[in-house]
Amino acid sequence: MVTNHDTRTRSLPKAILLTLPILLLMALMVTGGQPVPTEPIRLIPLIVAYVFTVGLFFLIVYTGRTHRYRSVLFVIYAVAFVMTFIPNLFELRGSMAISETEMIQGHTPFCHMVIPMTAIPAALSRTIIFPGSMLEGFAAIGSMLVLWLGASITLGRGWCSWACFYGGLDEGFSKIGRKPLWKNIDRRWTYLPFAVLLVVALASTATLSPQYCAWLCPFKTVTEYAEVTSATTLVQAVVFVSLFAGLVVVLPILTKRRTQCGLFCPMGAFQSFTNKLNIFDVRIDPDKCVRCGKCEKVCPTFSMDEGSIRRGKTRLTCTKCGRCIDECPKGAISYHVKGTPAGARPRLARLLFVYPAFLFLAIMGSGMIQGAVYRVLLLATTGRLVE
Amino acid sequence: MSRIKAFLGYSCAIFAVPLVLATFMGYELLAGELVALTGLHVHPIYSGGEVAQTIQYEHYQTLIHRPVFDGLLGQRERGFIQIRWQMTDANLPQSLDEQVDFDADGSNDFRIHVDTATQEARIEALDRRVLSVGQVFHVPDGRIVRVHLRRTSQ
Repeated sequence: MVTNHDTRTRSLPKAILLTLPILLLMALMVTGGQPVPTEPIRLIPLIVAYVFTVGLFFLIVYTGRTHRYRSVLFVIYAVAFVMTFIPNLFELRGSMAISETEMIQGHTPFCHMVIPMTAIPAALSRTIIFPGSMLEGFAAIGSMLVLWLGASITLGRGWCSWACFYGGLDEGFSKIGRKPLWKNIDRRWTYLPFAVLLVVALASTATLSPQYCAWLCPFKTVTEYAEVTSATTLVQAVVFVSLFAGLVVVLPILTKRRTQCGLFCPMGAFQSFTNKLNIFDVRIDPDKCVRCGKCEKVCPTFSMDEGSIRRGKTRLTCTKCGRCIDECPKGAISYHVKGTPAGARPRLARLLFVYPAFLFLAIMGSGMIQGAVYRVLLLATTGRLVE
Repeated sequence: MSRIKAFLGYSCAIFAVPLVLATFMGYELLAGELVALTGLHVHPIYSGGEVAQTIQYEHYQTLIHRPVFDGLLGQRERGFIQIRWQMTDANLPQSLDEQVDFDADGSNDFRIHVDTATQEARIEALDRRVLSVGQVFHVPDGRIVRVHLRRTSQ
């Protein structure tokens, strides 16, 4: 029987050899080309992040399983992001709440979720409707746009499974429990993110204010939110917490899917269109497929259905997480380089995708992991989470 | 043809790794290039618009921005003008008084008074386009105030 283990690198020396580029590149990226710090509180997080990321890449190559080890890093990356970001905010301004004074100075950190809302005003008037800074300070708009552009060209909507620092939260909660308690989700819900995208993009354009950030972003709960100074900001805070509890915690546990990413996120919907430009996709070999439907059941973002299986490719919303590839009992699903025959050289196609994708995740993730381990060490040695 | 497509496909795929490295290694430089190339800037309703006048005093300076009525494509009926008092070598005086001629027609359009101890602002409108004054923002190097305006005097 042909299985997904086709992509496994059976030879240990070969797996080590294939890990070598990541070993060297991560050494450069983790240190930022600077001398290795000597203080244990800085050195230990660096070593942990380096060994952990390189170790996971080795396992991806050696075992042939992409999703299993990507997911470990992706979830830890998201948790580490929260563990790093919140103490940073407390150090910076003593609170998770951002005041109007911070906003008027352009100190609001820009995140990728804002991009779909800024697209129309940027196209029409070359202005960004966000109270941040183009180039100065933490999470400047220009830097975030460059990261997003780089990821969109190399990964397409793979951004959502290999780069987004929020996606790992609902992915993490979706791993709680063995079986889904809620299985039959009407497929029409999968169009909701596109509706949310349309509404927030138009509303933001009309009001010149990023409406998803103001009203609907569940991740405000674990990052920052507008200071509660009025009934409006109080309602907004309640909406953020409710959406976080519903879409990021409860529904992923019940469905074992990434419900925020697959059923609500407008950035995800926006990012789906970059899959059209991206060189990588996921293909299903109709000769090997036995229509067992397992891929449809396990896809975290509802990107497989009967129609897509019939067409031999995933839906536009595929985040290239590799779950279907790992789970397919017949090895019928594989990463694919556009322009090449479907199903041709799946091991090569997988490696060509996994190198840039993992590198993106590992570089973003290692910074956050270093930050989180540093906070844990700080807590252990001083009893405080902030400096 | 299929060989050419496959060659191009694999070439693009191989190019992905250097692109990721370039993204991370040069993102500050690339961000500057991107902003310069596209002319993207923060919308004036957030940035306050360009500084139109700077008035120097002994220990501080007053930066008067241009009036902002910018909509997406045209002008909006309601807008504001941002004024920033910036310390240069000492603390701001407790009382700040400024007369502002925002349309540069030679006559003052409003007079504003800010108490830097209580963060209270009062405004005396000398033109019908001047509506009210917003809150006083206490920033590290001074104070910022926005005065609400309407575009026409009708």
